[in-house]
Amino acid sequence: MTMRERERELIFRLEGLDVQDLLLDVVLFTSFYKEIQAYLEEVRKENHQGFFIAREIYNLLEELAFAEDVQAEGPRQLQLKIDALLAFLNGVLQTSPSEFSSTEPSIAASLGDAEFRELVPVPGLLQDLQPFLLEFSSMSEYLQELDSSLSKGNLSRNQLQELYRGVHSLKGTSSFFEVLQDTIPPFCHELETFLANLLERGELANLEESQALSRSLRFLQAMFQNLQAALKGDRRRVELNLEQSLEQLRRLNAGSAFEVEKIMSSTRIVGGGQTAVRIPADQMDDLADRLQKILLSISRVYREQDLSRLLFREIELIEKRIRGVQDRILDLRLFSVAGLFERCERQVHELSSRLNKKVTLSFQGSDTRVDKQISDGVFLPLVHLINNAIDHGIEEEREREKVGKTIAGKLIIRAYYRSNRVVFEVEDDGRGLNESEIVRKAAEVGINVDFGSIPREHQLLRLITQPGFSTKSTLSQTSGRGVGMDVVSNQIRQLGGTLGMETREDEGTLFRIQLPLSFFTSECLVIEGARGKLCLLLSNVYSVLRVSQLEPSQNQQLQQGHLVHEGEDLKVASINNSVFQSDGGTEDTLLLLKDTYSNSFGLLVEKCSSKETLLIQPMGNSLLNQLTLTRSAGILSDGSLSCVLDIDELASLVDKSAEAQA
Amino acid sequence: MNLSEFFQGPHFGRVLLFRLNSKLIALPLLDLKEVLEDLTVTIVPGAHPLIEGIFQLRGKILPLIHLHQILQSGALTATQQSRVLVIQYEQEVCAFRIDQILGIEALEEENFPDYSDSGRFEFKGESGQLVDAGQVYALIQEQMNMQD
Repeated sequence: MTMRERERELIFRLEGLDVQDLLLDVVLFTSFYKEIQAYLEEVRKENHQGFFIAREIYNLLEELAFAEDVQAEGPRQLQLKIDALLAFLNGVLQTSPSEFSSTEPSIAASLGDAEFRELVPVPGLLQDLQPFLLEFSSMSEYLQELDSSLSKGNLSRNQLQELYRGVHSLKGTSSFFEVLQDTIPPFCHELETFLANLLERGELANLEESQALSRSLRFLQAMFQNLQAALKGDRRRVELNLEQSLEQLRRLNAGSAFEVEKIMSSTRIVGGGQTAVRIPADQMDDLADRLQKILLSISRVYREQDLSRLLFREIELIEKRIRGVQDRILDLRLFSVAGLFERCERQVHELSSRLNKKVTLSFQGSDTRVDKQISDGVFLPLVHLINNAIDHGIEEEREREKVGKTIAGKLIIRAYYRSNRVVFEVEDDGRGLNESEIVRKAAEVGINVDFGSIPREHQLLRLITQPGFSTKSTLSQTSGRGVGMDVVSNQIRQLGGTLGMETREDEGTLFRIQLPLSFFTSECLVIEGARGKLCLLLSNVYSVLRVSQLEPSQNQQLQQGHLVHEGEDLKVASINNSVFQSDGGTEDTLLLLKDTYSNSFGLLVEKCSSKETLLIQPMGNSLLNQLTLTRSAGILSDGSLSCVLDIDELASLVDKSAEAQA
Repeated sequence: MNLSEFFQGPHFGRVLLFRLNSKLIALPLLDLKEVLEDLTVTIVPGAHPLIEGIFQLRGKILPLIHLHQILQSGALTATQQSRVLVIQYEQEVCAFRIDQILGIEALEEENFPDYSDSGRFEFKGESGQLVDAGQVYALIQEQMNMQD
């Protein structure tokens, strides 16, 4: 018997099955039990989702066979699972192979083997949700029923109990699916707690509880509808407000432990106020990706020679509009830093009153919008810097008076954009870093300080961010609550950012955190070397020169790894030697670049191929964490992926390789 | 990997069998995310030699690693049967090239004569190795740290 024939037979069998009969008739029960067992054995060898449903039926049958007293719950569950399996089997048989492989690339599609085509692809893909949804489609109807009972005010204990079990089972099953993990299980968990409390008390205490229950029922229904729509490829969604529903349940459940952190980290709140919708970050990425693909198609159309003027104009317009949509989507991912600043403000008040120091706090750029990851990640480093500023930077009142400063110390926290980065600054008007003290301390631990070529502040920062370089003995005369700067520096590095500092004795200190924006569009210059194309942000390029048009003396300088250009001596390195570490063709083009500290340097490349507007995204993968020279990439108009060079890392690489050459 | 875990749910012994050069490898089916026919790889300057490059899959940037180097199976030959497997371990996704997919199989306990965590198995008279995504990650991280 082929798989298909067996499935047809099973469908026939399931359709004619009455669960009540099954439980009363031992012979019927045993034969069905064996049949499911045989089916399980069969599908075990296949990559088959029906297996999971069949296994649950099998487990239920076993439970029922040994149960001393069959509760109403058991048969109902069994009926649900049988319906689900039936629906699933029908779904499998009705789906043509081409339909299966067209929506998402699957094992079936890529193995190219007809035998695999009727199989459901690996977990994680959308199609896998189908059996899950089918299983719970009856629950959706049931929810409606409950909701109307609730509004009529005659919800029975049995109904509540049933809902409680349903929610529990939904929680378990949905946590199996990665795509649902962040929404359904946490919600179900909270609802479950709520229902358990309710069952224990035996009544709805007040109007709010009944509203919360009603809202939760509708929320679950809407969630099912959205999932179903998503599976059909329908992009329309019923608006869900997970946060609000959760909030209410959580309040009512006060005292029960619930982790909301997980949801916070993987979904982003879109919009604000009452009508906020939570959208998983994945869906946003997907949307951005689709738009990018449309733009790529458009750029291919542009290359067509005989495009009529009218068509060209229309396409130009379409491109402009799509870019508009793309920008809006990128915008949706972002939060204003106002919330972050508020948290910082509380920190400042708390610390200044504890240390008995007057601090005038001001914020600049509260409307700067950053990714949730950034605003979450930068909070602790900011708090450390704020603590240091108040504790160590800002002087005691008497000391401030003596040097003619205002009694209240000034603390400014800023956020702004700088090319592809978002910058946070913490500035105080305190005593500044005590350079001689730091140098003395460095010597004590055996670090030789040479203020030669490296700017003094870089050197100082490098010293104070050394692990074990205690802030207590260098920055503070008061009790050292300040957290080691090495921790701050590490946290920022983990976010892919850099820490900078400016300090003047008796005038104050400014710490600057620069972090990469998660997704951004930027104009890039595409450059080529022996091993492919790379991108540089156009804002970092200030001049492009032809090597063949340089003077002989300058050519000679290039050989020695530098170039005197407009009176400035710049270090120069070659893309093939330093970046690709390979031999290559002639490097005929010299780029003059500026890093974020406005230091100029040169890079020899084989070619500058184009200027493009790219959607740049971070690589964000643990295996690529150790990369420094490039941390993000974008898709070029020819469809290829290209790495974007980090200008500051490139600067230090050029520095090193030019020195080696000299 | 732990074999008793492998035979109990949710794996139930199901694997994707494939070849890396002459080596026979079994990957638990649940660790497999996707199979790709081919892809365009972008070189990443400064990346570890065990990383061939990056590619994009539906908007996500993923690393392509040299599994044959990590498992020391000898170089691969690109043929029509070559494929790229995308695997997932917890939240981490990466991909590697392989020579040939043999199919989806359900391994039984008798396929593992020594039944040890080394994952050595016998299938149709041939000896192979069971490797899960977690092991791939552990191995690559170990080797990357070693050469640093």
